[in-house]
Amino acid sequence: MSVAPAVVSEKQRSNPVSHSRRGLVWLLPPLVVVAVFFGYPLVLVAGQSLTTDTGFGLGVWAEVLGSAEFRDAAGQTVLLALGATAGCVLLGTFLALVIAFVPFPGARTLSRLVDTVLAFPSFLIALAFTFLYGSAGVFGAGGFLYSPWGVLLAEITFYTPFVMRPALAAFGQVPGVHLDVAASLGARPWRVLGRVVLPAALPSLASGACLTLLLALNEFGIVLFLGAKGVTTLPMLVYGKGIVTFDFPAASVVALVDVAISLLLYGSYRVLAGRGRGAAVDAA
Amino acid sequence: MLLWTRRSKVLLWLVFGVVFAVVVAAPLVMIVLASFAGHWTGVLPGGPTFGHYADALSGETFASLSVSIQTGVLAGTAAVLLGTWAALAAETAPRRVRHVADTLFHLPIAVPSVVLGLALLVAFSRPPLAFNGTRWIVLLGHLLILLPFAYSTVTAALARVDPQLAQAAPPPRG
Repeated sequence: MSVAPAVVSEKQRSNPVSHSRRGLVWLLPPLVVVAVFFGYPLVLVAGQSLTTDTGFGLGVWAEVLGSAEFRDAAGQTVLLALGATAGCVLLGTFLALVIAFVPFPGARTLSRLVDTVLAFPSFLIALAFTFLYGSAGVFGAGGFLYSPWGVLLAEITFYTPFVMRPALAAFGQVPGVHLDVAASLGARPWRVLGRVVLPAALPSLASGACLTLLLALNEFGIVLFLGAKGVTTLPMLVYGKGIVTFDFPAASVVALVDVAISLLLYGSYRVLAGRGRGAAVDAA
Repeated sequence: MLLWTRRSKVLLWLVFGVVFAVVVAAPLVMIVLASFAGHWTGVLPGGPTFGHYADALSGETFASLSVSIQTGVLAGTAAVLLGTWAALAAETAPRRVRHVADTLFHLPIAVPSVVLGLALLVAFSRPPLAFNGTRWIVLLGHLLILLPFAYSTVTAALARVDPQLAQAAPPPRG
């Protein structure tokens, strides 16, 4: 690898222009696909949101943003997502800490089991929860499942691996020697954790948390499946307005607000993931 | 490494075991149990049976399963092809273009899938491209959701490939 940079720069020097131009031409077809099938629909949604009964205007925006329904949904979405993220960070960090630093036989197998949860669709967790905590379930805990708490617990269960995996990767990179030195100097476990382990893993934990927040904000399967009373998140509102009542302009407004929040979060995630490179979740 | 005494370790493992059993294991176990349940009147399902699996592999359920698999295979293949193409092309593009392309190909992850669905409905229920109601709009939606994953996986893999490998290939002429 040590000679590689020299080779690359020589390559670029010998033929820089045609090299770049060839890359640009090849980049066009996938860009066209994304533009036509992703960009164009989103532009139409933006146009749709500006369509009022009388023509073009911000009427629908004012109406939707001013409605109590929208504000409740936005507040509930953010609260649920923040709660789920906090729960996932606590739980994921704890599980990863034990597996990484206080390992027991079979700990690695268990962590791989957690990874399989990543491959499941989220409504599967919701289905399992109805068996466990539903009105006819094993622990039929009187309506708990159909309250916001049920949705929160289901989201925490589903998204914990998204924090745990980068946490495990980051903990794996903390040299064991550092811990031994800290301990031999008389540091208590909590102190070692707070001063050595967590600072080293912070970028990875932050990027995992950011990804969880993004996914929890946009969670649809769990909320729809549990059908909890009074839990209407922004994605549910988009679905209700667009697919159920065919109010496309209003659905578009909610959708655009949702996209704006998501893009903001995704931007932060990219910055954080760049910092915790290597340990960040590889595309979840 | 963090804990040295046997007692504290065992205590910690106990907490871990309880948390793990409740949060991770219980839902998975329930799904598996329920899939074999012949009847479910008590606390736990009873009368183990393979009947549900037989049902799943016949008739209408099997048709749904088959559609799921077809959708997955088709959309997945298309996403891998397109994502690989995009990643390879972006790698040779100038630095600034590459950054823009990187952002663009990742964008579908950041857009909620419900919004993506709404956008596809709005865009493709009208001319010039009216294929709402066909299987193509479903495949298209899946393709867009999968594309960022394919793109970022190939990009990450390319970053680890030794640049000398490209040098070893015969130089292009013309």
